[in-house]
Amino acid sequence: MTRTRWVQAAFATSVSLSCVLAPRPLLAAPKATMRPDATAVEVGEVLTITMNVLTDGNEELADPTLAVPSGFSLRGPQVATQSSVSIINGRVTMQKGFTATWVTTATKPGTFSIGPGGLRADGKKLKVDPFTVTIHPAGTMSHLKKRPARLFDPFGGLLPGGPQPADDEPPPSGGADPSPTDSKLALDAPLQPQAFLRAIVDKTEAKVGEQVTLSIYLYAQPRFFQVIDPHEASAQDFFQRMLTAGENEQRMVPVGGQTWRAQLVRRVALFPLRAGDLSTGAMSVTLTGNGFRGGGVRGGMVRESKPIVIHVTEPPTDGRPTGYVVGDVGSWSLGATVEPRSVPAGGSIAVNVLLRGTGNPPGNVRIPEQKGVTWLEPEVHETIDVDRPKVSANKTFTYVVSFRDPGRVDLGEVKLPYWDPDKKVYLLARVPLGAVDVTGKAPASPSASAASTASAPPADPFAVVAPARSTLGAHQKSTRPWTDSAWFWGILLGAPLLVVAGEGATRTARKLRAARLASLDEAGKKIDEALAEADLAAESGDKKRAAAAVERAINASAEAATGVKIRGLLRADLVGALEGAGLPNELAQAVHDLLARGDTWRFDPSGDAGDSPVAEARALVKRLAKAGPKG
Amino acid sequence: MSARSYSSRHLFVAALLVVSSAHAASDDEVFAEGQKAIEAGRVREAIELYEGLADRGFAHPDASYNRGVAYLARVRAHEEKPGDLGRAAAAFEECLAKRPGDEDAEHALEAVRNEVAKRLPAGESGKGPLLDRGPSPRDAVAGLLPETSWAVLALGGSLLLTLGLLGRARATTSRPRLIATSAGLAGLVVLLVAGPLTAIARSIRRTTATGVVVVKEARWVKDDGTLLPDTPVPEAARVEILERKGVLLRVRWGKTEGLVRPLDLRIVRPMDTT
Repeated sequence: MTRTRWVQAAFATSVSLSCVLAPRPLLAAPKATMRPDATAVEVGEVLTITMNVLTDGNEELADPTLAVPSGFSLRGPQVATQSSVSIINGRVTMQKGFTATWVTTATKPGTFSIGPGGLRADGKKLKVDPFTVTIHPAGTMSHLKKRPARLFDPFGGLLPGGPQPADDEPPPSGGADPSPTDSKLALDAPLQPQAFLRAIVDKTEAKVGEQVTLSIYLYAQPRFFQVIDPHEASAQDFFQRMLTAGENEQRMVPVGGQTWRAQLVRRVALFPLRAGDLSTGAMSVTLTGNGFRGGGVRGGMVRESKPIVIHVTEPPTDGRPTGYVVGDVGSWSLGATVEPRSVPAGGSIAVNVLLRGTGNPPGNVRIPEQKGVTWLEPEVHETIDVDRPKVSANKTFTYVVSFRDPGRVDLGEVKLPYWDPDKKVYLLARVPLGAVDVTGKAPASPSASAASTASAPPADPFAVVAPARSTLGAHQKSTRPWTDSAWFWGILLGAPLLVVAGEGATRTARKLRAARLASLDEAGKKIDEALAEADLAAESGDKKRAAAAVERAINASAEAATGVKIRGLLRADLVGALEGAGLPNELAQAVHDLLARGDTWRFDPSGDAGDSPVAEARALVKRLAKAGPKG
Repeated sequence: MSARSYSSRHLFVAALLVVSSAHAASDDEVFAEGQKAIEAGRVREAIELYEGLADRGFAHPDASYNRGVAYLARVRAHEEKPGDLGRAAAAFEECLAKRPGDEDAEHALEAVRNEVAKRLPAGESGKGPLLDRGPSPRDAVAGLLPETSWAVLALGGSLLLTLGLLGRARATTSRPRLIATSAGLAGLVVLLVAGPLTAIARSIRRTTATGVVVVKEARWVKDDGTLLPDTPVPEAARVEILERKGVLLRVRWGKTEGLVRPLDLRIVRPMDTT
């Protein structure tokens, strides 16, 4: 056989599981199954044994063990946690557990019992039944009797662990050539060298409950390798159903200009459980063989698919029908049988409601309600078809319906509102149930019989609860709270701070003004003293002294009015300095002229300097006082 | 076989496909229909109608109240399903969140929690675990009054302080100055108490949600979903939802914090992140 065909065998294609490989359930809860990947192998050939344990209880599951007979080597276990969610009758059940994988090799031929297996549930030891394998001497098994390619197993090994033949060993015969090159799965470049996992979804936007199909392909160049230690994509926010359509199909695909082999290793129908951006998670496997080296189990190469994010929303609220349950998505039809059609009062009939269609089957249908008619919890049976790309289901709800009051009772209709993702509308599946004749007399009421007993009926703990309201009362729709707005906090803290800041500013201004006024008063005294001295000096004929006093008075007055100390200024700069301080030019010039006359008086005692400048000085002081800062 | 005997023995109603576009009633119509269903004893229908209203996003305290009454009606009709009391409590909590002080809802909520508490197994002390451990001390103080009330008090304190400061600055004689100083001090105290509590109440509103347990008991779990042996949160208990961690929710029940599964709770007041 050519190497190509051997590689095919290494990848394997499906054959139905034999009853030997059928799972052997251990207990109602937890449920444990153990199986080998083959029931007949040769000496030295690797046998992979997988134990799957799931529970919907609260037990802590741990410590998987496996007993093997002497002459068998054993490696493992490799333990991977797993979980699943199921919704039945509207009840969500979450199951958790683990998958434990061992690898064993027989060193002698014979028929052997492998096991029992064991685990601990809340510390209590539980046993898993053993199974039988036949070990043939090396080289004696024909190709046809070698382990059959296994059906894709959602709980166990990814692919049958095949042996690693030498390069020159002829591969087994049989099997069809893979399909011609498929361009749909083509890639411009490999995602990783040698081999890689590629996840593809049929849509990246979906409604809650709408099927999203996740396909995972293992791309590999034609080499010998074994696939071990699979870890499923978690997809925690999805309810999952494994699809078998197209499983293990192989295609030759162009990748980066070369031909690779792509095998579908998983096809899962994912049903989103909630709205949001939900991740499919990543699936990983370990590849072992020549050239497949890495940090995985047995030094193998780990390959992981890339998680894909699905944007999930609820179907629109506009137009949503009464009784619609978020998650009821698909295309559904209803049928029903009612038998018998006549029943005595107090008796019961059976109503079978058949739900059929595509999608994940809803947990409940809407059953009618009438007074005097009691519908018990239904017995539910469902068959799910995962052989096609879209999950389809037949679900039967069997109700026992009892009638209290005689008469003709119209049972009404069973309904199921659902969202059709293809038509993008809400639809209502319904089936009328017809009428039932209830004969005879109504049975005695429980209250009457209870009255005859000694014990009083138990008090109703909810008697204090006010009845349902008949109208919608006033209700103020919530507005944005004002504590979210900046103005609230601004006013809260700003008002007192503003007052404090304002008061502080006011006080500071007052102090400055008082200081300024105080300095002005001081200057006024000096001016008055100087003018009085000038008067005295002028009367006594002491021009020098009078001129000096006048100069002192004018200097003080100009400084008080402008703040400019003109004593130290040159006469030539005087007018400019006073104008710069705000005095009008005419006034500044008057100051200059008077001071010049005073100089003449002081230094010209001959008496030709003119009249006494004292009066002029008084007038100028008054003008300067008016021109200066107000008191 | 006559048609009549055939029909009485074995009539097969096989209207396999009667599918019609679903008609959407208005919110008011659905509300009224639900109330009639409760009165007529069609509790299952009433629950579906009010749950449908909630799914549509119709938020009204009376709709929430009636939903709670519908679940209680199922309990009283001896058709109780696990979690019905929790869902009733969640509905009444929703009503109170939208209309604080609704006395009927308060009485109903108390009745539900009393009934749940009676059903809980007794502990070592002979009593069942506390159903409502209440909020943390910080949140308990902030929760003494609604956020708006704290805000009004804080604003009042700020105003009083402002007036006191102004009055004190303007007063020229000792008596008005004393009055202004007293008013200012009183305002400062009120502001220092109510201001931070307003901020805490706002923070609680914006960073936490409120949920009610709607299963028999909500088990605490680890990050990977493994159940923990700690005392579970009983049905109808109110918890604060602090954040979503992956597929789990981190919640606080009294002083205990941990992770629970989201399906075990119903959110009655979502986080306000607007």
